[in-house]
Amino acid sequence: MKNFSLVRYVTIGSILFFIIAMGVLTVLLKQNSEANLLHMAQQNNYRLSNLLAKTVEEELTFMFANPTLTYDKHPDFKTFYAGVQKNMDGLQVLKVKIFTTIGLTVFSTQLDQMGADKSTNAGFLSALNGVPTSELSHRDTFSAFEQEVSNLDVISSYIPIYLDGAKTPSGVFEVYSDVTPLLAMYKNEQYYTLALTSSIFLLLWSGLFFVIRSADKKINSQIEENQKAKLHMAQSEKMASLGEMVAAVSHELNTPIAFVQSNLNILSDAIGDLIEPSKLGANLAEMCHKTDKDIIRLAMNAASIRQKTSADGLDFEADEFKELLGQSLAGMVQMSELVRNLKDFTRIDRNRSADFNINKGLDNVHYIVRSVIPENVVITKVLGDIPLIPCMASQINQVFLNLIQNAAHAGATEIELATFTEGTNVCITVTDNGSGIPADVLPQIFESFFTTKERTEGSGLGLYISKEIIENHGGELRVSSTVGHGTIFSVVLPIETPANLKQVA
Amino acid sequence: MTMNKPTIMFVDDEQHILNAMNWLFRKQYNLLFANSGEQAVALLKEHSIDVLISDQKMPGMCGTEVLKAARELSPDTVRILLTGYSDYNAAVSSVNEGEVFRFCQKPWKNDNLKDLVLQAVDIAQMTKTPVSVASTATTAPPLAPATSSFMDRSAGVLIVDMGLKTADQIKPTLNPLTECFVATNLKDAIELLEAKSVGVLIIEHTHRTRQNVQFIKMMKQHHPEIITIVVCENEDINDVIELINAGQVFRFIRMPIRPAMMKMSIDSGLKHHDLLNLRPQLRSRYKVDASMFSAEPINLEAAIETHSDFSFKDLFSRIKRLGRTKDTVH
Repeated sequence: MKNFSLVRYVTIGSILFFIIAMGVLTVLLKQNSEANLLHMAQQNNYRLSNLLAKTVEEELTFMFANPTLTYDKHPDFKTFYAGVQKNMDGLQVLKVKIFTTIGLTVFSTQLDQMGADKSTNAGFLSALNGVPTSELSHRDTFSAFEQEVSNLDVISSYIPIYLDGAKTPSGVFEVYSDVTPLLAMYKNEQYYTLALTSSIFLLLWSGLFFVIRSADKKINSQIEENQKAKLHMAQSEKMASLGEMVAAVSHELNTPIAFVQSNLNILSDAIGDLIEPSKLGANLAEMCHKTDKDIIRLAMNAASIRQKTSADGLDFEADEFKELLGQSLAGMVQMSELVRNLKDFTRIDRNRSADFNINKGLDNVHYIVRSVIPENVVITKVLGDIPLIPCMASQINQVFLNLIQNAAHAGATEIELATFTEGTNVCITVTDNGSGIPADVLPQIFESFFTTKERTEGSGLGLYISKEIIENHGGELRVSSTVGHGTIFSVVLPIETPANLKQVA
Repeated sequence: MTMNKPTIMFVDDEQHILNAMNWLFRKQYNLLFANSGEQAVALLKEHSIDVLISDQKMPGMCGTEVLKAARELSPDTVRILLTGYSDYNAAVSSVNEGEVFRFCQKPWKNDNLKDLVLQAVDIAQMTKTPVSVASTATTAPPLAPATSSFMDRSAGVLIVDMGLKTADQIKPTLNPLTECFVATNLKDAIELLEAKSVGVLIIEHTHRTRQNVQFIKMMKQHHPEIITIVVCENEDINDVIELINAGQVFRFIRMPIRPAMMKMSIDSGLKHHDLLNLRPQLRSRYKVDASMFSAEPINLEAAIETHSDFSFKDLFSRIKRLGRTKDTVH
């Protein structure tokens, strides 16, 4: 399982959030300051235009009365121009233009623009309708009052001019004012606000970062501990069940060892008693072979023989020797069968995935489990014709052992093991007539550390591990139970096991 | 069947074991064989049996159940458990329910088993209830609390409480007429044993009180009439086997103590003590010989580490003297 990297996600998330927030803030600040600037500049320009209009009312009246004439042709133009220039002096005004109602530029402080047609200009049309408009623009170069200035922020306003209480504009002024220093000031203010905001944000974030980092460390170490504990528990569960099995099997082994050992000791003692009689017999036979007579007479030292042999005769007859040895050999067969089964069961030497005969495995588990569960539990097998299953035999055996032991612990007296094919799966059922599992307990039985047994008896990991093993084989462990009647556990294994068979503890 | 040969019954579900026993013992004894506990019970009812040797793990009745049945049907029969399976619960119930004489493990050594059977047969024949006594007293008191009045209530109960707080739990269960003494260490215990008349010794056995095992064994070696009840905390099968075979413990009581169980055990213990005083020849059933634990050297230093002025040797000699001083007192 890949850990969720809290620190990484929080960092990436907050950087993204920071960028977006700063972007939005910048745009908003810029829009706001520009709107302020435009509003201010327009008001200034409006006042200026009206003031100018008052001072040069006479000339204007002429100009607006002759809308098709440019004013430069007028004899008083020079004086007028100088007057306007004088009025502009000391103000941030760069250029003033005057348009008549038909859009003809009748006056401009930039002389070469006089006569230009503005009748289609949106700003002019708006002003002609009585609504002053302004626009901010940046100019690399700008001609103002016959001189070039460069790198300017300029606001141009179209201002409607009303003469003698006219209801509609008599003409339109266009005033260009220089807002470069103002705009710079606004920009500075913007930068300052952004810097302040981002430093507050950074401060907050770094505080948060430390909290998150320590939380992350804690979470990771907890996850690690949890996994370690889980592994440890699985391991100790395995060891516990192995220990229980070893104890049971060694008891099973002790029985043949006991009688074989006893028989051989008896034989060994009995053979000691045979030494003298067999010597005697051998000597007699040798004597018979040495002579060619059919009948010989012997003189025996009865006293010596009496001394060397027992008065009660032999404890064991010859056929009993055979019996003693025969039973000892049967004991040896019992022992080797037990050892072979134990070896097959654990399959320590073959803990990798291989084609496994489930029926054979069940025979094997049955043999082993007999010594672990009470003697009065009867196990029957109904084994169907099922294909070989690629799996880890020792783990699958562990599951069967666990299910059978559980059944025995639940007080079952009869346990049936059945195998059959079901579509693309092989199904193994363990059916018992034990006490059954109550419906309210049933959903919890596969949880780790859930147990109904005494604290010392069950770790509560058996079914949890069994389920994990089966699921790692791409299979399913199912249960159905009726209280008072018994329980059926079904192991469903796909005939084609997924290639990525996982290793479990 | 020759009448003058003692009779031994073997119970085992493995025929090969019974055959081996047959070859081992057929010369000296009359032998009876049972393939199951049920068969053993049937034979117990029909025959007079001196020694019963049973396997523990069998289908149907298990060994301790056979022992329990034998204790009721034929109390004079000396009962031995012979098992390849070292199960703590089985060992404890063989004592508490079957009052087992010895707990033997498979595989056995032929010579040792022969010696044990010989010892058991001797004891069985020596302690056979005389017909006259058999009708009035039983060697094995029933497990149920005794209702009959005792002839001698002078013997008291000694509780050696070394940390399990057993005294506080046991005292309320005692009959108010029974004297109760409490010792918190072995030195106090021996002093109380010297001064008072004690019928039942209740002593705890934990991993911290290993020296108590030696104490129990010594006591039983010299004073089989003092009944030992062990309160045990740790479940070590080997300790239990040692305490059975070399300590002839009367009852094992597991922590936490159940008062009813405790009361029953103490009552039976006191009754049993009285019986052993009434018929001293019965004591040989509960006596253990020194050879039983001579193999294990006593660690004097570790045993009584808390009492520098008190050695195990001293304790040993005082236990030995105990009987004599008492005999003179009575």
